Amino acid sequence: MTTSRRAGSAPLALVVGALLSLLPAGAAQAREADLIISQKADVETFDPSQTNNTSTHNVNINIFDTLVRLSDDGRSFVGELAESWKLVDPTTWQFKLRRGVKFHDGEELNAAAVKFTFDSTMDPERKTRERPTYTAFKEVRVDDPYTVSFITHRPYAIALTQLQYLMIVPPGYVKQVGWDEFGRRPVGSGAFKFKEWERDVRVVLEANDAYWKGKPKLRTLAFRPIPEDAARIAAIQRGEVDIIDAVPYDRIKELQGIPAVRISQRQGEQIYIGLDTLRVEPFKKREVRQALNYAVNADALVKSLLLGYAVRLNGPFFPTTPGYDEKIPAYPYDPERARRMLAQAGYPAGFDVDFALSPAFQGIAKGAEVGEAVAGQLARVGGRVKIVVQDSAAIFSDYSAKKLQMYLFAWKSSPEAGRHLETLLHSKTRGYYYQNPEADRLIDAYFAALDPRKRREAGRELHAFLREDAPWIFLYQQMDLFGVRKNVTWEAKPDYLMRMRDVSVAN
Amino acid sequence: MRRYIVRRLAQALLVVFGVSLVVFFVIRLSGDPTFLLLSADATEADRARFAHEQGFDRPIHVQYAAFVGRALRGDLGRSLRYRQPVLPLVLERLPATLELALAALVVSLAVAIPAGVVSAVRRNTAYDNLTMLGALFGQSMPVFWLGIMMILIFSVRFELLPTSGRGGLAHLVLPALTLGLYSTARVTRLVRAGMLDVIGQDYIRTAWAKGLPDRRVIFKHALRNTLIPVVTIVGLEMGTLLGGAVITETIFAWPGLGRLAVTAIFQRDYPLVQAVVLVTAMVFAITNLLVDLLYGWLDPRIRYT
Repeated sequence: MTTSRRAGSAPLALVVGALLSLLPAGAAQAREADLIISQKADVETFDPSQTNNTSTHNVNINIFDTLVRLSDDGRSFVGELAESWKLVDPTTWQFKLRRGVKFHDGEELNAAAVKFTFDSTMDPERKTRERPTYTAFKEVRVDDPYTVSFITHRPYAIALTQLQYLMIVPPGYVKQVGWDEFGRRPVGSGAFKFKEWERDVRVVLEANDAYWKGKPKLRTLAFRPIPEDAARIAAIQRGEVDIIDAVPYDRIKELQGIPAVRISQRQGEQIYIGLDTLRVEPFKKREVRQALNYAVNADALVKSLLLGYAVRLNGPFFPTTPGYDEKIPAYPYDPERARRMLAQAGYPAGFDVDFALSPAFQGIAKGAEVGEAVAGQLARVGGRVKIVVQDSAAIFSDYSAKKLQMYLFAWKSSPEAGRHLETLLHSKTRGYYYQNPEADRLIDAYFAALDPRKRREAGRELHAFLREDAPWIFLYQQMDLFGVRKNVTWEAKPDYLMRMRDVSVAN
Repeated sequence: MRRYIVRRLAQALLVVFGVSLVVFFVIRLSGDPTFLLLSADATEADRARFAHEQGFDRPIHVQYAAFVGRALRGDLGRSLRYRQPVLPLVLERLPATLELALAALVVSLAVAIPAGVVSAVRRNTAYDNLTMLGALFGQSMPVFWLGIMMILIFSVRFELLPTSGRGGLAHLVLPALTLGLYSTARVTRLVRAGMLDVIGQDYIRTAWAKGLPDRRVIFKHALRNTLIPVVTIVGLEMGTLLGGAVITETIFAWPGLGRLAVTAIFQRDYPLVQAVVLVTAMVFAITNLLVDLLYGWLDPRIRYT
């Protein structure tokens, strides 16, 4: 027996020994940059017109500049490449550009570059993914080398919101190397220059010392995609990376237990439950939809499932949407009243409904748990809810095929503008599940109101109407959570972008 | 022999064609990529236009015919998401996946063959029982759990190895161990069973009776005859390792084919999914062919016709 043991473990020991001897014994890894950010996903392409992916934007925003950006409180816009702007007539937004800004290869950033960026994004030949973002604009006109006008089809109050993501690209370089190559080796005007990209492994950027806003504090900046949550958290715990995105709610405690790491948060997606108010018999009635809002205990969801990292909403408006009215009460949890309203509406015995959800859909935190909790709460007022779990692409197909009866959804784009109100609730845009002439009228008025005060008033009216008409079960706006090493000065911002130009790392 | 190889390659092409057919239809019928690809506020018209530009609005058999036509000319299309031709995207990840799969295979063979042999020779001893118990554990542990445990123990607790990513050899250790463990367990059991079978044969008894040393009997006579089923399994195992690397690659942020495939499937990046599957199918078919050719080397009685 002793001999057999030796015979068996010798080769094993040999292999393990050989492997271990090849390792740098516990040595710290050489870091590829002063600051390393780990996101769930890698860059799709560096060509900003061909992506709307958040992880990609977060890298690109450090390479490119935009005309304007959202202020840190999320309520107004601040000039970037644009020194100033004005509405010269109801459909013409004119921007004065900062002078002397140069792309990393020395090419000048002027009005022609802005026009080139817009035109190439809208070019049908290029089939860009970002074209839909700018369809409200008819054309871009160069007024002089440093003045450029964006002309909309009709008065369009949220022009700046749409333009905050338009990253200006260098016409000369693009024409020279072609779009494919540009998508792999970009040149921008931003605080960092592209250095290298090993797909699915890392992107490395280096400081642009000629940046118009002054030298960035970091010399090098890297992005490392790590899709698995546990591995991302392990990486920040070890100090291999400095910032991680998309911290899942059930790992908050774990992260809080790491002394060198803090949590940074920003307001994220609005989570709502859409109802088919056009085909599902009970949901055609406003009383039933209101009853459902009374039946769901959204405060409890926020408190117990989201651990308080969410803001209860009193309608489809975000707190940052112009016209948001905090005096409007959120639907209180009142199952008794819900039951009564359902009975009065003709459903004393309850109703049957399919509830579609996709657990990790569009970043919905704890999607499955939220869905089950809601189903349980609706059961208490007589809702016989059947949960149907699908993946994101499948739920989207059914969504546009108008097959869903009730669905857990999220909106994550420019909340401050209220663009979602038009996209989701106007019958002319996506009238899949809700159409109401009064809502259409109020939404039109809201988007045509260019004067901020008038816009707020129109917003309040719209908000109050939609709260009462209850096209959805209103839930909450969840927080996006980031893990940040305590020696890093970065904070999450409301425009969903990770600009690193002012960030520094203490030792 | 040459005719045999040609015939097998032709069969492989047929298989790949069949795979392409299935994948093409399944991926297209199971979800709509336009929402995932365009921004949230894209209108109905935007999405319709995009679908038209990509040709998604044509009847599916027309789309398939167009795909096959282009594929025969070596053009597998462009990724909807990465906006690059798909074939280079897939091929540039192949080395990482092969590296991981081979490392895992080396780990598993290096451990499994000696462990299995000794287990068989010292059958029913404590060593044997312990090995089989270990094999049972190895086969039952879910890869994602094992991978995360590996990270927590070797990277976070003892700070020996990097948590994830690809770089030097240090980055390879944990994913290779994680991926290799399951095969190790399987191959150990197989080697043990095969050896037990062979050891009972007359020619082994003869070898021993002749007074040959243990080592010679076990390694020259018994092991060599055990290897045929082992090679078969290893061939299949290689396929599993290439395909099964999906989870391991995701956990360890390993830039391989599996991770590419998962992302592509969730995003319904049709051309990319097709390319990944076709390339994987080719690799699988070639591996199997190599395995079949190995038989002849191991057992000269096998003839290829």
